[in-house]
Amino acid sequence: MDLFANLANGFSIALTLQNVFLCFIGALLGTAIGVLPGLGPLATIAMLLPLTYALEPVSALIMLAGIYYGAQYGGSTTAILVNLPGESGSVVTCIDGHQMARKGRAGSALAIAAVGSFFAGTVGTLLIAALSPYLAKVALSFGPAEYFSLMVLGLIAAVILASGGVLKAVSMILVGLLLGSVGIDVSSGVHRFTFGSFELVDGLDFAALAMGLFAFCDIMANARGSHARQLATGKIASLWPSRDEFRKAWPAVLRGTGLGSVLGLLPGGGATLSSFASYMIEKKIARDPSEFGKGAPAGVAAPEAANNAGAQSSFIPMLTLGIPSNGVMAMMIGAMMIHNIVPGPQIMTRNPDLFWGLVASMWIGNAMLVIINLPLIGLWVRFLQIPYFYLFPAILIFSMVGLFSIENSVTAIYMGAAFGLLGYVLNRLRCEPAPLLLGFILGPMMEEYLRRALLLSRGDPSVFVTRPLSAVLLAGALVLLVTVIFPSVRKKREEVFAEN
Amino acid sequence: MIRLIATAFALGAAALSGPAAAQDYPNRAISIIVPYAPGGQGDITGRLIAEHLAPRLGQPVTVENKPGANGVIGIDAIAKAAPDGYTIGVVVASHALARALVPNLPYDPVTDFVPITTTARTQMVMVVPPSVEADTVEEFIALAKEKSGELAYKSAGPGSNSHLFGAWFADAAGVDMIHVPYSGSGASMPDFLSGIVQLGFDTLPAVQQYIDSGQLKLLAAGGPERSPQYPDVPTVAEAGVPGFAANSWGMVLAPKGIPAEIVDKLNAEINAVLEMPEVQERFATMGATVVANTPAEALAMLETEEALYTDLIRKLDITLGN
Repeated sequence: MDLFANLANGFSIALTLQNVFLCFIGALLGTAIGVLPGLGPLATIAMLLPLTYALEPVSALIMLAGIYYGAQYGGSTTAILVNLPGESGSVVTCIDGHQMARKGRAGSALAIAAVGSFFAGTVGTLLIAALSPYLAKVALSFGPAEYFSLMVLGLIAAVILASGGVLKAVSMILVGLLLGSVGIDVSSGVHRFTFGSFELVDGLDFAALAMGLFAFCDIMANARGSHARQLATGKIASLWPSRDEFRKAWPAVLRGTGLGSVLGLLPGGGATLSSFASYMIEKKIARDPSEFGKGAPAGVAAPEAANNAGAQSSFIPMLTLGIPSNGVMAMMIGAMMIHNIVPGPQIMTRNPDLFWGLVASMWIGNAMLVIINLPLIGLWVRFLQIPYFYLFPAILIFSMVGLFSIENSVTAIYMGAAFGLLGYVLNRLRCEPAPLLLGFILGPMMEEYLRRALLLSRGDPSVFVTRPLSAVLLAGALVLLVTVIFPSVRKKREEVFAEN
Repeated sequence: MIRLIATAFALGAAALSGPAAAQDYPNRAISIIVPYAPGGQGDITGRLIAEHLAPRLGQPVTVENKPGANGVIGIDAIAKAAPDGYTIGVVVASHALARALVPNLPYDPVTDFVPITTTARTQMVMVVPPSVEADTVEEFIALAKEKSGELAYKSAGPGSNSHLFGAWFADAAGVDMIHVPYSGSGASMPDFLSGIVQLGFDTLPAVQQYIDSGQLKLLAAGGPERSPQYPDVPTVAEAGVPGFAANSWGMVLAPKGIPAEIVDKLNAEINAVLEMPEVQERFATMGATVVANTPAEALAMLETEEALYTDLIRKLDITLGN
């Protein structure tokens, strides 16, 4: 069977000494930033982007991916022990996880979270391996018109499924689209918004934008907050869940995995949405809903499984269609473009080593993470006590060295600083910068496909509705748009995110 | 007054040290500016030269990538560098298109530079996807005339060499074709392989794997000569479009005002590097043939190419902005 041959090939790439090491670094860093409240995977991936210039593309992606799913593990540690979400995907884990810790069941909650995540990660990896080749085959029949319509659908879905206000998400996407239009226009060669500067002809630097909006801005936002962190428990008694806890947790892990895998596929989906949705479902179907909020094992197991499954399956649209479903995936696409790899269905045929190597590394990374997180839990508890004022200067200097190294020029550092300020303003306005990043990446692609489709049709716009696949995708976008306007749907949506 | 005298002394000292500096050149590290991103032809050329030049000159030779704006940022840095032989640069054929295309170009592509040598010529090829019902250039022209205004040629962007060659071919063959730009040759491949666009001029290394696997059909060699790898395939000019020659080349440049002794020394040393068997082999794997000519020949070539492209761009009415 092809799948196994491909996976075997993937493992042979992922298991080289360098790649195992980078996978480990990614998972370790991911856990670390997951543990630290405030610093998210987006910020960390942004900081490490320039570093990956020197690596093989597959090694770079293995490390960056490790950060994303590693953060899903690390985030739960802080959620359970400190009652703070270390990462946005573990917001709901706080509710029951911390209650379990206060009852003296911290070890058990940590074990449920880690093993649940590992199971979900394994399923998610298998899903990528099994589904992607089929999706890629479909995608190969896509022309410019289909891609344009798919991106319209993706952007609309991203707005609807994103947490926070619709209006803010839409404005952030629009700001991203505008920023993305800076530089030489691929279709006409016009220099746009360059103000006569040749530095801007290639557009705003992706790494500078991402680092400013996420890393610099997070640091500023954290620096003004308080630094006191209270640990729920100084000592973790036993990592073994009791029989009763195990019985309650495992069906929740299964449900969380299923739901997360599906939601991760959707544009705008991924870890955060999956964890919220699965917690809601567990609460709805529980025999005794009053248990939730007081330390229900299912309330830890389901969202933790779901966020990791969602984190894995959101790689599928990115790897097969070249379309990012969330901020982290936009970052991965940015990383591929840095290495001159055109994201899209041809990756699987043109860069099979990259694709299968990355998939195999995800499973290896997940296995490593169980080890990093469970036996080494004492280390992370210590790590939580490091004051931020030691960490921040180091992170800043590291980031600036990275920015300088991109093109051997200080322009990127200034750009990063400017975007840091912009990010801080957005943060104070409570606007999520992730949709901005989506707009920044998707905007120029969308414009290119739109104009290419029109060039090929000699200016006839009916091409978008006369090609069947394109018409279906546009109809889907229209349906989404209509439903979100209906009050009943809107109310439901607000309910889901109410606990955020 | 004292300052004036000091300046005069300094100037005098500089004038005196000119030939002396040329004699003990090089006595410190040399920097090769590559105005393109790492990994491309220009970058590999720069790195190959740096690697083998350093032991010959007994000084470190470093490569500095200054990509941006189709090379304009890095080439401007070469033009503005001190003309002392310690900063030189590597450019590729798009350098000769800049004057006609880039508004407010901060340098003159010919007179602001002193060519050291031409490094290599890369073969250009004319390729079509298999769904196009033409196996020769003549058949393709006939098809394009029959489906006038329906077939499209791809390019690596407006004002890129591949855009110019596509427009030139359509004009010379008397056919009406659509120009579809992509951001680089790599980005065009999915649409090209599936036949959404029907014609492309590419460097041989960019498409060789597809030609050999049958995913693209090689109709003709784009340049003035046939390809050594495909000697049976005619050139575009032989196949019925006389005068057409799509060239792609690399060149080492120094800023103007560099002493002639240093130009000669660099020419001799870099040509010796280019003629090393292992360097020639490396160029061959990129579909390129080493040229290694004299500074005068390189200058003549730059002038001819620049004049040809400037005329063509004006004649074909290629501008950035419509």
